[in-house]
Amino acid sequence: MDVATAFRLQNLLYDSVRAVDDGRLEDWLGYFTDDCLYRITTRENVDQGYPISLVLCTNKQMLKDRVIAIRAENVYKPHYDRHLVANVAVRAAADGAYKVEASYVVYQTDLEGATELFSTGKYDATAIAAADVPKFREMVVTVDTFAIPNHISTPI
Amino acid sequence: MTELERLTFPSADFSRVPYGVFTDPANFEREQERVFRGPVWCYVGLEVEVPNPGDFLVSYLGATQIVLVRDGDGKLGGFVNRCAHRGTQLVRATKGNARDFTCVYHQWSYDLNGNLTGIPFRRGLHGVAGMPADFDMSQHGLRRLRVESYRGVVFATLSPATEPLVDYLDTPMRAVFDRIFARPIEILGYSRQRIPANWKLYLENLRDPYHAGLLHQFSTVYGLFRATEKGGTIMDKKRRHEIHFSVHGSDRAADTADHYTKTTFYDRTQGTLGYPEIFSFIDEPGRGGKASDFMSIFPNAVFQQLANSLATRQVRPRKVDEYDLYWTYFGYADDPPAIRAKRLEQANLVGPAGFSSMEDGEVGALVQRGVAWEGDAHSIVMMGGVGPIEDQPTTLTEMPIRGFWRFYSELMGLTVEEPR
Repeated sequence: MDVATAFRLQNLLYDSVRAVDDGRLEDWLGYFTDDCLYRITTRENVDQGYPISLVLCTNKQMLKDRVIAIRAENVYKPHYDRHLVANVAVRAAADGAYKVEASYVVYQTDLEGATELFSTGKYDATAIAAADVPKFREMVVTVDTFAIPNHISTPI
Repeated sequence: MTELERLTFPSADFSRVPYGVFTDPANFEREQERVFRGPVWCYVGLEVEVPNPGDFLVSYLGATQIVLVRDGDGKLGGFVNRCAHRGTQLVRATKGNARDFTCVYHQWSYDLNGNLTGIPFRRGLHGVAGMPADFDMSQHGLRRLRVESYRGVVFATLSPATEPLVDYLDTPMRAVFDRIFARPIEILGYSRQRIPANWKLYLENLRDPYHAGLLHQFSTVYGLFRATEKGGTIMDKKRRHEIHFSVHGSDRAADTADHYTKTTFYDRTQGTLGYPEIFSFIDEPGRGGKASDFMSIFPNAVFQQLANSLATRQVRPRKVDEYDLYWTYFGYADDPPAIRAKRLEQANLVGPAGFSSMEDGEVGALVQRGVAWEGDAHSIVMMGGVGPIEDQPTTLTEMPIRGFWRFYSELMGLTVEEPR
């Protein structure tokens, strides 16, 4: 893999979490393919081999509905997100796709400015770079902090 | 007067709840004794989680950690997770299989029934030191629980006075267990939430179907649950447990129009869901089209059928203003692939990120914040009527909340004003 490709895939991850941190959830959707899988699970379930997800979107419509619900219907703790993404590894996979792996930390800041650690865990993603625009075809978030502080609203 | 003595229910029908029950640390401490060590059965797990001899899992009676274990004869038992020697937490894994349990501190060991079986250097060394000669190991086992199960759902109690589990559950609740657990189940996974609120705010929330069609707007707007649908609440004789249900799509368009179009949220995004299939559910034996069926068992458990999502919810109090909500998702061992996929998909509706459940933790946190330093003020629980606590032919009611408090205040010995 050439360095330029690796950079583009790394930036795909950085740009997508930046969209969440900026509150641009509609833009965040743009980083996924139409047939994407987005899933949040926990280390507890992965270790014990259980299939449950905390969030399971098997297509982009479902991902979009999550954003609609966050904007219009769901009642949740108002907050700002801040993602720190590290240990990013990009590798070539089958079919011209790429595996993107990383660790993350998400802090949440409330409306009075107090910041707390919300979640830490890892990303296991598959991205494609058709027509030079890289997108996620699959994003599996595995949460270490599986005693979820209150609830999950905005995407990890 | 101590804080605790000031806690008084101002109405004998429990239509007003003093906020101090959510904020008073002394009350929280008394709950550990009077409720969680009192004459009640607490839900602790499912038999299918400990299928083989030696299988164990760590669970809770209130804030107290316990271990549920299947012994060598296949019988269920349990004990407080504390070494009898110096009080060390004995079992550290959350679940597993063991032949015996050994404390890390001084290697005291216990069999699967909690009997003390080994003390290193019990006789000392070369006749020096050791335990007293008359130290009776048979008198120093782990603190054992009474454990009973109904239809594979396991409950525990520390009180010798607790009535048999079948009587405790009462007829309507047993009928729900008979239906939900009619076939062998399979665990699909777990989730946990740590919620900054008093644990009883969650139990109030689940006995309050009034909120469901108003707070959970995703379900309401897109039609999984509306207060205008046919539904109802059913309680046990003592009004401590509660079931509420709703029948999907059973409301009249005119009612929905009259009552919901006046709210600010209804119809705002109607019809714009990209994947409305999230709500479609496959009717299952005995449900009769009921989209939601929620059963709360005093003090700590909820059993849920929401569309095709099945789960148990266990409340684990931690501090006066913090509890863990522990979800166990399950399906049936013989689920066809389509219905299994539906259960996994509809887990989106519940749990920490649930379309129809993320709000419940949040409103608890909001109440906790709202009632701080106002222990003498009280809430109003009158929707559905005051006076006698009865079953209701509607979900527009908070009445089961009053049943919860009636039983709770009896256990706790809290003061109730005489009717005027």
